[in-house]
Amino acid sequence: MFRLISAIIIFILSCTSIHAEDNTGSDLLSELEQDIKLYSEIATETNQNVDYMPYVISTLRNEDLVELGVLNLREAIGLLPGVDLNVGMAGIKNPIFRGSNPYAFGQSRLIIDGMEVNDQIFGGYNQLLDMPIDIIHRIEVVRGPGSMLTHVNGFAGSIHVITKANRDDGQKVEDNVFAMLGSDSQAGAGIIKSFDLAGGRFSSDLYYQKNDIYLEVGEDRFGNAGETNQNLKNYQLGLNYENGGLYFKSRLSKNESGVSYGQAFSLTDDDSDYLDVENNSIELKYTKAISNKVNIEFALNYFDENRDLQNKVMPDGTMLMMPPPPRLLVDGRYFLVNYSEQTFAQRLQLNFDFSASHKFQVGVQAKQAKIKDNNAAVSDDGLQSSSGFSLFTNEKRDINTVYFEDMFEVGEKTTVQIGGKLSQYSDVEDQSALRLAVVHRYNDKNIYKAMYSQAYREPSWREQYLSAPAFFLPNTDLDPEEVDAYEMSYIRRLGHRDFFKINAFYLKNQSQIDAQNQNRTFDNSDENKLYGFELEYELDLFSRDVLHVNYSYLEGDNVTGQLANSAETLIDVYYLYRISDKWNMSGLLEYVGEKGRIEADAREDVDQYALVDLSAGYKGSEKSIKVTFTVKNIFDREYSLPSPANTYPGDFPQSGRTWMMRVSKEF
Amino acid sequence: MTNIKLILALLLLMLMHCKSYAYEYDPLLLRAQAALFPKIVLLDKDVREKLKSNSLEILVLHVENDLINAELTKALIEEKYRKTNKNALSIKLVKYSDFKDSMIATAYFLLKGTDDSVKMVSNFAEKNNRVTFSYDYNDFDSNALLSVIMRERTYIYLNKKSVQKYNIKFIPLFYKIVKVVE
Repeated sequence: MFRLISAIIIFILSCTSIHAEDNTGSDLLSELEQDIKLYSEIATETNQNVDYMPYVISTLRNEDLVELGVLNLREAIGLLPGVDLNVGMAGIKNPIFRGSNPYAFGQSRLIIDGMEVNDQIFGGYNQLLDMPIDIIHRIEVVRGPGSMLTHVNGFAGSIHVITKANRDDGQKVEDNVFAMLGSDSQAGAGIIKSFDLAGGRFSSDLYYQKNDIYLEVGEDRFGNAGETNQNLKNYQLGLNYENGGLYFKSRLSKNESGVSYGQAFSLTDDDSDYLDVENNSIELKYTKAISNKVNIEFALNYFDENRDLQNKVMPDGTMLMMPPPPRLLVDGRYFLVNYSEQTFAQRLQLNFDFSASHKFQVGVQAKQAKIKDNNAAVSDDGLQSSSGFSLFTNEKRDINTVYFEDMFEVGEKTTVQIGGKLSQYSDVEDQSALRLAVVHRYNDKNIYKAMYSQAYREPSWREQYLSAPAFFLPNTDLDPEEVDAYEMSYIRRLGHRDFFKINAFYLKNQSQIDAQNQNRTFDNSDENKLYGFELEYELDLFSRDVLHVNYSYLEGDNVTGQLANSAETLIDVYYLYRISDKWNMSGLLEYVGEKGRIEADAREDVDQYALVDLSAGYKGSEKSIKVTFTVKNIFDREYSLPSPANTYPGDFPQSGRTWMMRVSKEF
Repeated sequence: MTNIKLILALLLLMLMHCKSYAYEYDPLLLRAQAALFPKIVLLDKDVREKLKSNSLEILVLHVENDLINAELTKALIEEKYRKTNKNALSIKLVKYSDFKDSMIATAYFLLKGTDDSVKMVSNFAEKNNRVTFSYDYNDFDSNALLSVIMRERTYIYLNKKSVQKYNIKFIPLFYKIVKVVE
């Protein structure tokens, strides 16, 4: 009997043990599945898996950029295939994607920590491109229409900046201080700091930088030559707070600069002329899972921009012919602007995770943009008095957009994306866009993508509503720009970081807005086509280095039959050698081919140029000091960016050799 | 021009004098692997027989100049494992060049190494029915058993050529979430 009881007890115990083991196994398995889901989500959020996403994307990481001696966001973007810079009025340097309308500022979108920061006056974001690399964690750039944020309407490209204070890879924000010193009195310093606060996480960055750059320029349209004031004082403050599903993000920025080549492409003789631009962006976002498969996202955004300008746009002794009768401006003419705009936006989005292989998003966004200060004036007596008027004839624009994106897998190797967007404007024609993309992973090493997408860009207020007498004149009858883009991409993954990529594109642009005509008035041009390809090759030769080569080739036309202000060939090559865990050195070569001009501009093409930068860096152990020394344009090559016709005949000469020392330390 | 020559000469000098350098790892992938690896080891039905002093003993194999990444891997595994609260854990760092036949552990985490060194450890683990987990799934050619990769999603890869030879029996449901690859 005793044996029987013992046997029964042993049997029960063994059964219990088996069940316990099974439970442990299933618990572990469930944990394992949760981990897989978590890391898949982080990889998607941080775009580590960009090669599998239905866009042409390049990612630039802080570590590489610092070691390459890249100073700011503008320089970083210039490293990408198909991206070039163009100079507009007041020296604004604007990125151009694949040669698409180099005279527009809003064809690409800048998104900082998920906040879109393009303004309404130009549609651009130039003043934010001076952001130093030291506060940036990662830059992701989509070339072509679309954006990784479905509600953002990228036309030719979109630039996503993830700051260190807002890093989204699940890692703690690294507290950091940095400082820089260089030629032309370049100097700056900043700090990144985060801490726990009221059950959530607070993070911030703050920096200040300045330079005293003056560049020699040839004759302007009045026949004056001399120095242009490119001085810059720039500061930004980023403040963020996250608690559960609640996010607060903000970025306050101010640029105080000289007027460069002038608001109206004339050289000022008054060194006190200035252009101050202030931007503030705030986002309050709440996300909540309403079921296992559905998540709701609600965001409120605020954006404002203030511009103050004083610019002597006509020199002493100018004979003013219009309006008649002709009169002599003995003290020249000043143009003064005090302008501010505000945009409020509300967005509601539902995210459906039907399964790991099927995700669907649908959302609605309402934007209300208006002008708050609309003041301009001219002074013909050396600023003793001025006569004021409204800068713009229209003061508001409402935009309501609905959008969706469906991404699902067909079989194990193919992902399909279908998206759509419809925008209703209060002052221009309504627009719609479709997107269809397929990504096929033939195997782990070979990935193919095919994409068809449409996009639109509404005219900027400067193009449409300016009332001031300006070099380029507005047109209230403008239609939005439209594009149909066809893209193909092949990616060969060669190793952990090593890859070869080839992208081919064909862009059918319609109603492009430019003022490159006889009347210098903004107008929609006829259909134009741009096509070409981009090659990218990245390789570590000795497991301690990065060799990157990219080559872009562009054909077609962007301004009525011509390929203006855009190089057919762009090449970037950089080599980064990590000599040891402490020392690194790098070389960077940038080649930009000849640039053509519009038909009415009889000048020779803009010369090709090649620039070489060299850097050397030192970093100690985990938290110790990092030092980078960089010489830019080491061979002091003279080169110019194209000026519009009838402005500066000799184009816009750029900086020669400069140097910069940067120091940073974690704490 | 003289300045440029001087700078180039200095850089060349630095290049000649600094030889040590670690491999480069994807930080997110390493974190994911550190989280997944010990849990996979525990799904071995016979894991209890492979514990050392009732503790899960893991050897992290690395090359001479990769100590920093080996230490990082150890710290990550410990950090992630602490949350699971399972058996005791002991992690040892061993250079491929110092690996000996006496080093029988519960499982082996293989950082980057030469094909021969990875093969040596993998063959030893195979003989002793121990799990090998490699950072780089290309080490499957060198007989490593498991790896984790990040593509459009995160996948656990199981080496089809090696799985029979290792003769390790994982719980059946595990085979439903892994991808068996060649």
